[in-house]
Amino acid sequence: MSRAPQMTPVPVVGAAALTAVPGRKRLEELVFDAARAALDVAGLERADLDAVVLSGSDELDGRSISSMLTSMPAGGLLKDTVKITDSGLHALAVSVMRILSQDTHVEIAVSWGVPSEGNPEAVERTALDPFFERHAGVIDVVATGMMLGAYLADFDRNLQEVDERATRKWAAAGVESCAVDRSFVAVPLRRGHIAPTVDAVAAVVLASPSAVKQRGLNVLGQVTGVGWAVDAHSVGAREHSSQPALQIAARHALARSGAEVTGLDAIEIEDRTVLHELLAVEAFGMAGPGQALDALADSSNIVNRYTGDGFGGLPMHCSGLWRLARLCERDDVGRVAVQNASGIAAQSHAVVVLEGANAA
Amino acid sequence: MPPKARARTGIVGVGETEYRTRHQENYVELAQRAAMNALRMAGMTPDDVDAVVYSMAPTEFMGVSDADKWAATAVGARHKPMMRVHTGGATGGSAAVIGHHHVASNLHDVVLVVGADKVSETPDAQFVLGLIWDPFYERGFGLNTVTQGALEAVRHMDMYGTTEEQMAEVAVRTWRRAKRNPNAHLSGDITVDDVINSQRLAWPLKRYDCCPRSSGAAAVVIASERVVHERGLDAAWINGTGAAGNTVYIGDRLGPNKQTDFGELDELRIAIEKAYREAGISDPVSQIDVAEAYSPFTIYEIQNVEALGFCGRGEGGPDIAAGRFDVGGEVVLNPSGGTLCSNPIAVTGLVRVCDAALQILGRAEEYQVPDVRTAVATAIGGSAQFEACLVLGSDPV
Amino acid sequence: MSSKVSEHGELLTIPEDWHLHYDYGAGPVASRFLLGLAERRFEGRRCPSCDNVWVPPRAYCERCFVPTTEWVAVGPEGVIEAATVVTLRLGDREPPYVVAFCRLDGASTCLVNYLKMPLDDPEAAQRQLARGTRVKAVFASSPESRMSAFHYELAE
Repeated sequence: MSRAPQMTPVPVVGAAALTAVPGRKRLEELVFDAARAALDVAGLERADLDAVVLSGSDELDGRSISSMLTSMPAGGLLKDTVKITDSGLHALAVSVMRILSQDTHVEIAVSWGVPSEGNPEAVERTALDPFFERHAGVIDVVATGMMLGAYLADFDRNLQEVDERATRKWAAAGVESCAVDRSFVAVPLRRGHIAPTVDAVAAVVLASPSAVKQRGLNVLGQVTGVGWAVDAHSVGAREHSSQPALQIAARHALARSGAEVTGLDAIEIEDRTVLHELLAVEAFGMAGPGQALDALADSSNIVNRYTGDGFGGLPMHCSGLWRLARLCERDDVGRVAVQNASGIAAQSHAVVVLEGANAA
Repeated sequence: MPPKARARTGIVGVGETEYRTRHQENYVELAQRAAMNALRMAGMTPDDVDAVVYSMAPTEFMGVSDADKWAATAVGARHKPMMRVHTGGATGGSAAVIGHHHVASNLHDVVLVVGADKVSETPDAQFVLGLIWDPFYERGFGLNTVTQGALEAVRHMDMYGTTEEQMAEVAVRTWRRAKRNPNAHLSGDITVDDVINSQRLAWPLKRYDCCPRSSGAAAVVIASERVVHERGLDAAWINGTGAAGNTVYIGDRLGPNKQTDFGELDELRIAIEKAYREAGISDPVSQIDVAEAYSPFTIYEIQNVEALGFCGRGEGGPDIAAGRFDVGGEVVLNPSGGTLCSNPIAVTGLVRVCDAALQILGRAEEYQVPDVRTAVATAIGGSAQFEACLVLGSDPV
Repeated sequence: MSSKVSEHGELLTIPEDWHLHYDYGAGPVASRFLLGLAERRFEGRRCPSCDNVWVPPRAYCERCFVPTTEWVAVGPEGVIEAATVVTLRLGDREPPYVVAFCRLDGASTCLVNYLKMPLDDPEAAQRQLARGTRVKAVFASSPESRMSAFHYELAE
């Protein structure tokens, strides 16, 4: 990043985070429900929107250009609509950049993931390098298993500690420890180390400071920093026991917000597995390398303290935007960093710093 | 109305590969080649790049999902911000607009916009394109981009009396212009009769009315005004941008209750209007020198010139046939040969921006039009659903 | 599959076929419409704000951005708004065949399907498909809950 200066905060004026029962409504209807709800919170109509930014995965949706079907329910009819495939937080970053460019004044960012309709693992296989990596089929759970093994070895931690962390995460989600599945998926990653997914949609309405003033809009929070970064595609070309791309994304977002990680009252992260949680804690600098388990053992830790443990049901593709929307529904949130990942073994990350209603 | 005080951005590097059915390189190598070409023109290296915007539409053609993630290291994005834009056929144009916003937001100084496609990696291109429609109501009807283009032509002919011969003139003139562009996939001397007698696909489209399935890559480097001045670079200034999307349902764009007609590109008009307004274009014909207009089928070129305001509604067919937009005309249309001659789907919209920028920078070599000060590029995707427009200038507004 | 000798030696291509299965949840609105096809009837949804009867039906109006509120019976006859005779093999279906967007009586928007008619002379056939030509929906003998339950034919 060439520019270190702080960015102008961008107000959030509407938000909605929904989860769906599989098979009840079609994807497009879920998108409408979220977009309509977010506009209602903002007290705005579709006509007030300057632009729509979407994020979803065609392959997961089973639609070759899924935005063709989701742009209208997101409010995009005869409006500027664009899709960013990476994640809901990347879509939000685009809305932020457009408002900062003074190109638009009111934007809606909408993201979704309906894993119940597709087969995420089959889709992941198609994302692998066809010449060198599809043969061994190193999809997300396999790569995560390898990385967990590397992490335990590199930092001399043991599997039992990871199991204990998983048990506490399930407990937070109301699941008894005896029900946790201990079978191995890719040693040493167990089924019980992996968050269950839910079908979900999120929508967030942003407005420029001048639009807020002119239209008398209610501000739910401010986006004060955005950052994102990608790592190498092949897991073989990456660090195995850390997430440099997340470190970079977090650094950019915090620098733009003018905040330090010690000034955050929560980090809301995509805890797909226990390992993802450990690596995120360390990438944010909240624990030294190999020490996240100790930081998390402290019950006053600030991980997912507002939106809850991902083991209660993790949205796919849109988890960051979904958590951010949930945060905006509250009035007790101070300064929070929200993160989500995408790609095999979290190749790509986005981080957004939000100052909530209760920010100092 | 005075322009807003917004940050200015300019295209300082352009990279293209030749557009062919097949290349020797694999997909990521193709993308890398375009990226390096663009950086070289800008006098930069990957280290100078603050962020990457990746242009990629459906990945089913080249068979690797999230192809952008596969190409990340090859285009210099490792440990940098990168995101992928996807608006179907409009992707490349949308990606250029988003790249512009990356810089205009003051968050980045130098952004690389890059992408590639290998549309011939599968023989099943039209099958893939048939998957873009609503799975409950519109799949399984042989709806694909060819029949869609055919239906647009049916409507335009019904509304304005546009003829098959006028559509054929588009092909004849575009192929002839493409002869000067060594990157063009198709080019040559064909006649109206050749087009009319070519294989019928879906009425009224015939083979020569349609684009090829091309593979290739494209890239631009967009820089902030500060970097342009600091480094003393030539720039094609991005003076106006616009985008708009329509409903996917073709059935809503027909009949008495339509908001827009499927036979016209009114959603493109919305995008163009904003771009023109920002760039201070009030008299398109006299102010614009070159238009790189996205037309994968001959009818689209007619629709584009009307939407761009170069002529009235329904006049596109006769005006093109009269040679009004040939080289030497008031506005030169697709001097590169355009999309009809090369269509590497994921980046075609970006290729339009590349070719418009090359004209402004005076780097279009054999297909350079003299004295280009203002150029416009359009991009169209989905069921003519997504549209993007950029206006470039030799001076910033 | 081909290989080509170049200065770098032999070039390979690697073959692969994808099979990706999906179970698309249709939702209550599309489900009712499609189940209606199995009963040989068409229904659209009315928007309370603009009064448009959307066919295919939507749970919400894209223009007014409010939920639609009422089912309205439409068809089974209507008019052609745009149609084309396809003569090239573009997918599974053997050409020639006609794809037509038709607006059923009572509907504000069009529903696409195949139109069956004699096609030994495609050019002549196209001339019979002008906008405004009346058509009727014809159902299969055992119609399923899919769009394949019916096709269009020119009305007498």
